[in-house]
Amino acid sequence: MILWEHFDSNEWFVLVMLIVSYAAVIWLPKRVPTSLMILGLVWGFSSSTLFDFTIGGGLMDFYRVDLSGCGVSKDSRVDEDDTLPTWIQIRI
Amino acid sequence: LGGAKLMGFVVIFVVAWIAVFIFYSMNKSLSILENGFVYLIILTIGINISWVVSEELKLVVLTKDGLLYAGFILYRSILIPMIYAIMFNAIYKAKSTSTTLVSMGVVLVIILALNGVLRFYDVWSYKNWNIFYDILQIVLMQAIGFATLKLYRRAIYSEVKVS
Repeated sequence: MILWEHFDSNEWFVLVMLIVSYAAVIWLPKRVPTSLMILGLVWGFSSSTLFDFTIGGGLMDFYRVDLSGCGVSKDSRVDEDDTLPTWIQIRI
Repeated sequence: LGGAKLMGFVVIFVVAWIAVFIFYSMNKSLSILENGFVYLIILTIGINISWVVSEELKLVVLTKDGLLYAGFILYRSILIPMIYAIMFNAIYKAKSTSTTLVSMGVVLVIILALNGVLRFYDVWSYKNWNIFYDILQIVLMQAIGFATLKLYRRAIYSEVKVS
C-alpha cells in the first residue's frame, strides 16, 4: 500500500488543512454541546469515508483520488479495468 | 439475470431489512446520539478493514457482478453497523457481564454465519483468509466499538455533571 510517492505540495495542503480545521474546532467558542460536536466530527469523517469507498473505489470506480501524487499520467490510468462496463468508465 | 446471483442479493437485502426493523422496533437503551455514534464508528472501521483486506492486500476476492456487489455494499454499510447497534443496545439494557459476553458471542456467530452466506453466494471468496481471521476481526471491532462508546458516554456524562 503506497500512500504517496512524492511528498509535495499536495500532502502539505492536506496536512495544513487538517491542522487548521481541528484547531478551529478546538479554539473557536463552543456553541453546541460536546456530545453533538463529537458526533458531528464522527459524522463528517464517516460520511466522506462511505462516499469515497462506495463510488470512488471497488467495482464502482467513478473517480480517481489524488492523480498528481500517484506518479502515473492521467491517460494511462483510465482504462486499466477492462472488466468494468463502459458506462462506468468515466474519462477524467 | 442468474437465479443464484439474484438470490444472493435478495438474502442480504432481506437480512438487512430485518436488522433495520429489529433496530427500529426494539426498546433502545442508548440515546439517539449514542446510537448514531456506534453506527458511524462501526461503519468507518468496517469499511476501512474490508477495503484493506479485499482491495489492498487482496486476501479476499470480491465479486465482479454488479448485483452481488450491491449486496456487498448493503452488507458492509447497513447490515454490519445495524447488528452492532442492536448488540450495544442489548448490552446496555442488561448491564451485566454475562449478558455482555453472551451478546458478543451471539453477534460473533451471526456475523460468521452471514460471512458464510456471502461466501456461499460468491459475493466474495477467501483467498488468503479464513474463519480465524474473521473471528479476530469481529472481536476487534466489538472491542473498538465498546471502548469508543465508553469514551463517548464518559464525555457526555461529564458534560451533564458540569452544566
